[in-house]
Amino acid sequence: MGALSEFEQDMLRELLNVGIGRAAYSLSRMLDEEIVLSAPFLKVLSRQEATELIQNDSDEPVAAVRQSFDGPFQGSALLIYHENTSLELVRRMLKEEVPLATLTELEQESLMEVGNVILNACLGSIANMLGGELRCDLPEYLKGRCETLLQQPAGRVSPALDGCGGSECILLMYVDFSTGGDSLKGYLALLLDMVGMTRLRGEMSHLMERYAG
Amino acid sequence: MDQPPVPPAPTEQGEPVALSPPLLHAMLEASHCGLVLLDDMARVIYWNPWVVRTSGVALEEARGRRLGEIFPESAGGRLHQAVEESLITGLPAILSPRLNPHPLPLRAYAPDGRGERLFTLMMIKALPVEGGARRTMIQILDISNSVARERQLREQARELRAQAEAIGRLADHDNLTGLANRRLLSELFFKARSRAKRSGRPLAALYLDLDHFKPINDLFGHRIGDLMLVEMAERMKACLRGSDCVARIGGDEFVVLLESLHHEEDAVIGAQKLREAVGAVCRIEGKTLQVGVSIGVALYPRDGEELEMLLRQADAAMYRVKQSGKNGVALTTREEGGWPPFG
Repeated sequence: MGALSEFEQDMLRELLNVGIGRAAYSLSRMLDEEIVLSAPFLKVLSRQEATELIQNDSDEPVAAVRQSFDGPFQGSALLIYHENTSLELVRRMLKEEVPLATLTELEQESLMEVGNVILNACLGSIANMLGGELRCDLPEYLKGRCETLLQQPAGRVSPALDGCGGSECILLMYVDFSTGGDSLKGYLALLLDMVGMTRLRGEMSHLMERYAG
Repeated sequence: MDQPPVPPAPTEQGEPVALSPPLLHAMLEASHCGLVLLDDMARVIYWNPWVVRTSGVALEEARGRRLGEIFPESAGGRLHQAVEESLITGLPAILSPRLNPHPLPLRAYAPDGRGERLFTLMMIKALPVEGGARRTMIQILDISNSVARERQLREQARELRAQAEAIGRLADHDNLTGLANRRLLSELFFKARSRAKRSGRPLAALYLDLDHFKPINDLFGHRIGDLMLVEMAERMKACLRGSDCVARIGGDEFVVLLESLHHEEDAVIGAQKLREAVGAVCRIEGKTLQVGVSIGVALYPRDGEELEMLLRQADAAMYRVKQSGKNGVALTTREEGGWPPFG
């Protein structure tokens, strides 16, 4: 959907990057080592396009942390990792071998905590930008096929989100996590309802006008 | 997101029962997890008996004070930040046990108050603003059992892996000397041969048989004989370059592979070095001992493609050394080797 121009998407990425930087600072303190997070990519895509983009990198199942919210607008935010990346991420955070091929409950909780810090930073920035306060659920851990995850309704209370324009597009960001070595690629997907999307578009064009003027 | 108001449940008589404050209060008190309610200044409004029991701090003592005052050791930590963020932005937080083992000093109940520290999972969630004042709630789950269970699982996984590695080592190494065994030798030969094919440089297979070893076993016993073999293995290893390898394939028989030789004669030079090293006098448990070694040398590709073929010919060359006085080196001859015909 072309509602946000390339330039607006770039600007939004810059704005969200401020929050991402704050999350990196919190994580560095939490893990007691330097964590670098960067968001090199942001696009507004359809669910189908977002799924294809993620599956194009790898067709593995994914692990995700999700926080749903409502308030002046509603939706949900997901931090998604391919399964092997999620194992590697937890291994680096806990600084030890993850002995099994799948995350244990306690390891899932560690991933949820890191996801929570990153998602909060992003939701905080969005709420700030669009005004109003979000009431947000505790994070939940999900695992499965990417398409299944992204097809789920954005929030639990929201028939408004399904079958209406807002739910059809996803704000997708790459979030690279690194501790000095190679970076691990994750995806931050923000699903907004119509109200949220409309506000977002309005706010971006407003910012553009100010920028141009 | 907030739950819609709970509809009153019907009684048996069909009369709805309201969730009265005393009933809600009784539920909080009976809850088997920790519940802490904080005001907009992060001061304790309420905590339930579970928290009283695990912290040893009565509600009356805690009320109106911040967590950092009640538990100075936790001040300024991750819990503090999470509470603050929740009060400012309304966003929730989770504190996982692996990353935050003990955000608060809570202990299992023990009569002397010195029970084990609890591992906890904490969840911080802002409550709807009432009359402009924010409240936030901390839920605390004791998951010490899960932590212990996972630690055990992890240890078991580590042990299993160590055992698998040990079994793997036993399967390809000689128990006594730690040298490669015949199985591993075949693998190493296979790899060395592909490298030789690529580089075009010859590869040598040396068959070594110790001279006069049996009398040592007979005279001094197997223990001394074994120590002697270990010593010889060490000496052979010390003669080799990183790319070469030595295997023990029988009681006092060894095979050495020498890689990337410049000339075929280099194989003989290498064999002479091994003969000198093995033949030097050694002292084992106060006894002065000496053995010799007869070495047959076969070359890839000159003498054949397969390890079996090369070893058969090296063995024949070694046998010639044995026959002509032992303790020497011989290269395969044409008769042994069946080299490609000249011309």
